[in-house]
Amino acid sequence: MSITTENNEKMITLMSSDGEEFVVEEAVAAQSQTIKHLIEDGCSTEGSIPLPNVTGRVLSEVIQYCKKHSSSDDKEEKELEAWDAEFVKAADDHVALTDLMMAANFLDIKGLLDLVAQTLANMITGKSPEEVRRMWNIKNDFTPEEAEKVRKENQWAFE
Amino acid sequence: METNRIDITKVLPEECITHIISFTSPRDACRSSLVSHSFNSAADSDAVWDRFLPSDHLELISSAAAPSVSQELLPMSKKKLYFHLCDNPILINNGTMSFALDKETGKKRYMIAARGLSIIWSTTPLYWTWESLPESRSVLYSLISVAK
Repeated sequence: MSITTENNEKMITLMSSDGEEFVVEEAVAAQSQTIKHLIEDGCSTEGSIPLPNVTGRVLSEVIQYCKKHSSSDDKEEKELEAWDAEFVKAADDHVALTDLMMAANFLDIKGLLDLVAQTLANMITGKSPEEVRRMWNIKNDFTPEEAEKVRKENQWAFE
Repeated sequence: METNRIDITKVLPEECITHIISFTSPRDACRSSLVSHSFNSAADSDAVWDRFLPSDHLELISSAAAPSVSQELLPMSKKKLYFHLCDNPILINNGTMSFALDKETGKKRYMIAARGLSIIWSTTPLYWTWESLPESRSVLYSLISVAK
């Protein structure tokens, strides 16, 4: 479905994996390279663009991010940084951040992908492998021999 | 909570794990290799170490005084190259300078050979003399001041 607003901004409709529809300005949606290419290929002229990998809850957060970043210019960089910091803080745990990262990866939104990656990176900085496993619920799938080999290869980091 | 029990490496594709690790530091990347197989392969990837290497590392290598340096270094994985450049300074600028990497940060460290410096009266033997120290590289002479 392609409609225009009063100020002639083209609107497009996005549909989440759980069937929720979001009507957004094209400029906002085009922050996503994936959607931008779909629009260029004419996929937005009829009906909504289905996004089978993104739930409505996550998509509404992503749209919030895209709206903010499409309306700000470079002069507001400081304010935008503060906004980004609040935005990822609201995501609150690594599960929500993981959802956001998958969406940013699928939708190809570089700014959001980098923002979430940096936030998750900060969580593992300075932590031991055991602490990282516990925090993110990762199974240690090394045999003792393999672990010893990897430790040796990276000896410097454990000194 | 059940939702908190998800294993991040089972959910995120490896390119995402790689992306996360590339935002840490060289030390954290090496340490994270020991988390699991998927972390190990992400932490060893060229994508991670390319970010830790200076953006102009290829230019610096190709400007090495000895042409064999490029041939030796370019086929290396980016991780191997990183540690090689930390421990083995490369001579550039016709051998008057060398560059290496700081292991913790990946920042460039330059050493300027005394011959590469412009020093006032350096050609006046009354004030300055060249001495070759046995422990110094042949081209990195130490300049000994003999202020009289």
